[in-house]
Amino acid sequence: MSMPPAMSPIPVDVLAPREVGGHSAPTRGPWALMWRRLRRDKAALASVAFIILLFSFAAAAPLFESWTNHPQNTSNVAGSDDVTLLPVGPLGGCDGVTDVGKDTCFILGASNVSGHDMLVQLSYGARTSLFIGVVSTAITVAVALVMGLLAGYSGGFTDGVISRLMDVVAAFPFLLFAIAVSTVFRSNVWTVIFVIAAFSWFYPARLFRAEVLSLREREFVSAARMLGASTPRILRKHIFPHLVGATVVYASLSIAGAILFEAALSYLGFGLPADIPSWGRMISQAVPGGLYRNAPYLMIFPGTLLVLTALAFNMLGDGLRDALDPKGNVDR
Amino acid sequence: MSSGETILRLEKLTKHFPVTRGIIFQREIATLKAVDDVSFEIKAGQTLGLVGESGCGKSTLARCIVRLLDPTSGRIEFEGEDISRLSGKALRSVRRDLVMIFQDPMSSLNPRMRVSEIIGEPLEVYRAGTSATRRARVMELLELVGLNSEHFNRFPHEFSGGQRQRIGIARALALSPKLIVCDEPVSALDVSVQAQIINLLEDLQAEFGLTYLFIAHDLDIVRRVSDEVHVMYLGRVVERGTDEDLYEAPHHPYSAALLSARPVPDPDRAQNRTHIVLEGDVPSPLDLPSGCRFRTRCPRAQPVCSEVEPELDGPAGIHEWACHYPLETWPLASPEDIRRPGSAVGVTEVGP
Repeated sequence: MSMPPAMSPIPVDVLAPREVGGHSAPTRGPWALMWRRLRRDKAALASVAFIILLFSFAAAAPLFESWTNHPQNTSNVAGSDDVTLLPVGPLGGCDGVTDVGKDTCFILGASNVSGHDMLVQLSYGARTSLFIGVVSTAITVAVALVMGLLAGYSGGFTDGVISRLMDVVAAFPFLLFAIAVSTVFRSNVWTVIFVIAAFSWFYPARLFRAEVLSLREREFVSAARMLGASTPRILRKHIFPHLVGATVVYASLSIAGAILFEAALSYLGFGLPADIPSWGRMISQAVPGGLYRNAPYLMIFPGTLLVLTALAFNMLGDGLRDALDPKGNVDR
Repeated sequence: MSSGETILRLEKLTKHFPVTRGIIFQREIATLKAVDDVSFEIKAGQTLGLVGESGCGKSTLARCIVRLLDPTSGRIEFEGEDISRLSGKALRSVRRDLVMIFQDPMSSLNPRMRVSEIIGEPLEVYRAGTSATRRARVMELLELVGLNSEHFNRFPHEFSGGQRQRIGIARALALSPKLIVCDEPVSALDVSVQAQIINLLEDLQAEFGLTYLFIAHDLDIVRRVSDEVHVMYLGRVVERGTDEDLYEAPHHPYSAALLSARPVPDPDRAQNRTHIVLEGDVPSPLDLPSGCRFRTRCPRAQPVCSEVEPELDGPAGIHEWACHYPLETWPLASPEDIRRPGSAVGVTEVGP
């Protein structure tokens, strides 16, 4: 750019780092502020710790498999008691005579329906749950952002069409559709992800649209337009940064919802096929014949893990929401 | 552009907002006439002041000129070119020379951007220079508006209202524009800070030969900065003139009422002056009165006022007013003096 002649030449020392005198508090960006607040939130920190543990547990699945010598998808005859035909309980078969961790020892017991080692099943199930939770949430949030930005920023006819589409999706019987899809198509991880994403995007999309509607009228957006900024630039630089907080909070809550929904589908038998481990199906296997009365651990272990996982993501979401609240107190 | 040439000319500029109903397919149920047939011109290096009460269309007019709104009809000639229908690239190139300073320094700066990004945004949008020269330019602008380079990396919430307005001014100056539309730039600020910002704007005008369209509702500030003042009422200019003419001898009863309402910083004079208080409220711009828009509140209104809309009249380019029965004497001895026999509208007496 050519500077107008009227402007004075820039003094050289302006460019040099200069000694800052007096008080000059370090300037904090919104993320630094958020982290400062989150650090004081014990529930959120505990959730983060639990989520890290859960990811490690899922990552370690092959280790459990080789350590116990109970492959994930083969039935272990040793998993049932020969006399009662009931599954072995926690620490079943670990009598100290046999080497611990070898063949007959089931640390968390086994299922007599599939003959699977519970520990191995749970850690592979954690992989399934986390994968479905994270991927379906990523798709949900991405679709919601596009729809919310489009509807909120363009307004008029586009907004009308997208908003009515959101109403239609919201009115759709979600569970019935999921069951229908799983009977029509052979369901796998991706059909479950698709169903979850297809029916959850409308909710965050409404939130984003409302947020964009109010942001669009803020004067800094007018200022950017007045300066000649293009629409993509305004969306990227002036609108989207204000949605990041809501996106992060919503994503955290949404992961919990997706994990629970997959478990519910699998429990009902419309979720994942039998060769993919799932906490929901593990719970359902304890139901026939009142098996849970004799072997409650079949329900307790996956059930507890499911509850704790959903709780952790929800509490993290709440913690993030408080931490990102601009009206929140920094020194709470 | 040399001083004295016309830089901006509005010709019968009109902005109507349709009021619509319907979810997807919308039909128009009414029209809000925010700006109606406004014409004026500004000469390079000068300041045109625009006053009027809230809702009279000042801000809509400003937003039409910088093309944040599309005018319904009329022409906006900027440096001889009609920009009222421009879009895309052509509009972008005009935007370098024609910028605006906003009223609210809280909301006109993006709270998530650092000062350097805010001021540097126009430079980045027009890809002016390298990142090093842009950085240097931002530093220069900061000093120019009375901030210093250590503010470079701060966020807007770390500044006072006056400092934020300075940031807004620096952003407007970034590309060395020719015309700056100041939309109530000081009305959100304290009186002492107002003076600083006004001084800054005047200094910048003197230094860079800027042209201002200065919008405010504070008559004294407008008089201080303007070469020529226009008074707006319900979307129309009702009186215009050089500040001397208009302030010392208002002809339109509305201008007279506005002038009489301004605070006087002298208790003796404040006691003795006449205070014209208009009755009623501003009519809705959705349903304008017939004839003269001011007649429903005008103490001089006569039957003809409801039939014929008055056009601007008087010495052209010096002092013009749109009134069938303009005032002849000023100042008035008593509020009743503004009244014309036969007018149905009264004037409220205000005791000293």
